[in-house]
Amino acid sequence: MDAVNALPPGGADAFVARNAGRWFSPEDHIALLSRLSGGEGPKIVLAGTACDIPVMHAICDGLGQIVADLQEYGFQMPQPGNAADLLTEIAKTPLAPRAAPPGRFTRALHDGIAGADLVVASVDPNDDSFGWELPGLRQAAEAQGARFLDLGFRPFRPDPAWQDTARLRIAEALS
Amino acid sequence: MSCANAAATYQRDWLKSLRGQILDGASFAFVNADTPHELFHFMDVPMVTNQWWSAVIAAKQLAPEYFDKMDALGFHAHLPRYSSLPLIAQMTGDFDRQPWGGLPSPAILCARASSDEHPRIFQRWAELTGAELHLLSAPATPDPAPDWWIRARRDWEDLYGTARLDLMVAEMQSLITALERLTGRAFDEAAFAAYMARIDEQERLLDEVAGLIARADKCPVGIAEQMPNVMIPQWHRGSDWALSHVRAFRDEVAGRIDRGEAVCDAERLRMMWIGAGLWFDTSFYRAFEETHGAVFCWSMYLPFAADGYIRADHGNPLRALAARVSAMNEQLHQPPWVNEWLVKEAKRWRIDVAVILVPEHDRFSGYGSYFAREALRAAGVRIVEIHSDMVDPRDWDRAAMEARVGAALELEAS
Repeated sequence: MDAVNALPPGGADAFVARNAGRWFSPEDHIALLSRLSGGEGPKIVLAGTACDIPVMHAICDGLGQIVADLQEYGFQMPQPGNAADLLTEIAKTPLAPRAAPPGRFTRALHDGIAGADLVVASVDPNDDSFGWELPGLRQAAEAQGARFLDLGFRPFRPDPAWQDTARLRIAEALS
Repeated sequence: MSCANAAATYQRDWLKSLRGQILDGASFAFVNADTPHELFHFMDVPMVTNQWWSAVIAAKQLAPEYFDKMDALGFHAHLPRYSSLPLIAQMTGDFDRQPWGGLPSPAILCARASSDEHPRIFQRWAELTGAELHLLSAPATPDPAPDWWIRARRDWEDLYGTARLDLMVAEMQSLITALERLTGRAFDEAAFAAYMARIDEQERLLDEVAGLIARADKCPVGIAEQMPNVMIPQWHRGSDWALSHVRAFRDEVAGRIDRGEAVCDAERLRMMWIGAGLWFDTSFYRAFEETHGAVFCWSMYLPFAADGYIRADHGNPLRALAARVSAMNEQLHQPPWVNEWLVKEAKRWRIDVAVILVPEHDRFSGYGSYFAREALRAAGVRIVEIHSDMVDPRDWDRAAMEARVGAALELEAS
């Protein structure tokens, strides 16, 4: 908890702070996050398939503040115990990739980009789910006056060249 | 084959008639192939199957334009294609170019969540058309018995699991309620039992046909003719026409065998086609008869009519229907079910070479193929693996594929 409490608000460490919530109770997590000072610059929302490393946060560092990360990393932390309870909790999560009916996911996704200046989407090449949301997400973003950037396929471990290109495109989208 | 022409004509006339009914105010359903069609048929709700419509669009050579359109709309290039082609055609809305004038908006939609894309695709359909959406869950079977086809006909309660069947029945009851509301008719359980018995009779006839062809010295009916004779009656299963057609198909096949008629008089090798049809180039199935004496005699559609459909009702036809539907797609595509079934079928049909269509963008069916490949190899079947797609011809190189299959046939014959 002390380590999370000391995290800065932006960059790759913001990814760590967000995902620390997998191990804390919601109340503890919210209390810790509320101590972090707000970021600066245009508001960026990350969307797309699950990303288990802070690469997208690092790419956006210094270009704006990430106000929401909707790349599903796992909103419920698997813990020893009753697997049925865990599955029940996952089923309640509207941004779980297999949320049913899938319209719940779409609504939560569109709600999640509220207030964004830029929505940045990227997907895993094996994606079967999120890709069906992309045209609708673009429309929703543009309808609220935000820009929408589709980075296309994000490699499992993006190399520096991919990261440089992504950063350039995000900077252009924000300019 | 006269039966195949009759089936195609029936289906074309049926769709034209459907359009007429809809213009007169009738409602229709748009559904996936692995959903309980029986409920729609029984409640007299006309129904169009997504994968069938996809195949029709592909056969009309319209798929490349729609997949280009799919890219332009912002859907990424690795999304599954077989089940999405009709959605993109509907989004494009150029109905005057589509087969038989395209599809009007359906009143109700139904899909099983048997892979990740299906709920999403049908959600987009619901948004596009305003139709009521019914999604059926597809929970995994914890201990899938490899020899499912032996147990599925009678012992399906243990095979699929009581909890899974309870869930499927509950979700089908919700669908029945919607169909009652749509039609203003009550669901008659006794009449439904009689209807299910007719489907059972139809599938047993197809089981008989499969046995006839499997045992024949030379293949009397290739897969290009089997498919319409099996699948069009399946889309209308239990109807008077479907039963009558399947009987005629059985008789025509038996007659051919009695008269010693074969697809290829010089048949030397028997092949199986694994995967959905190659809908944009079905003449490929006959490309090796003259050159190599090799006949595609097996595709999944005919034998699956028996193993995938016949379910004893044990006095509860709705639960028997749940047993038929609850693992339909998984049995065709997922290990250990698909590989064990294909090995059983390869032995029964005396298969020499299997050609496996691996649809890289339809990962649910594509990846299961690798287990089939290894199992068939271990059983002594020569394998040709084709990475392409059922409905998207943009990466299909017919000459190169003929060369690959031809080379395998020459090795097998040597």
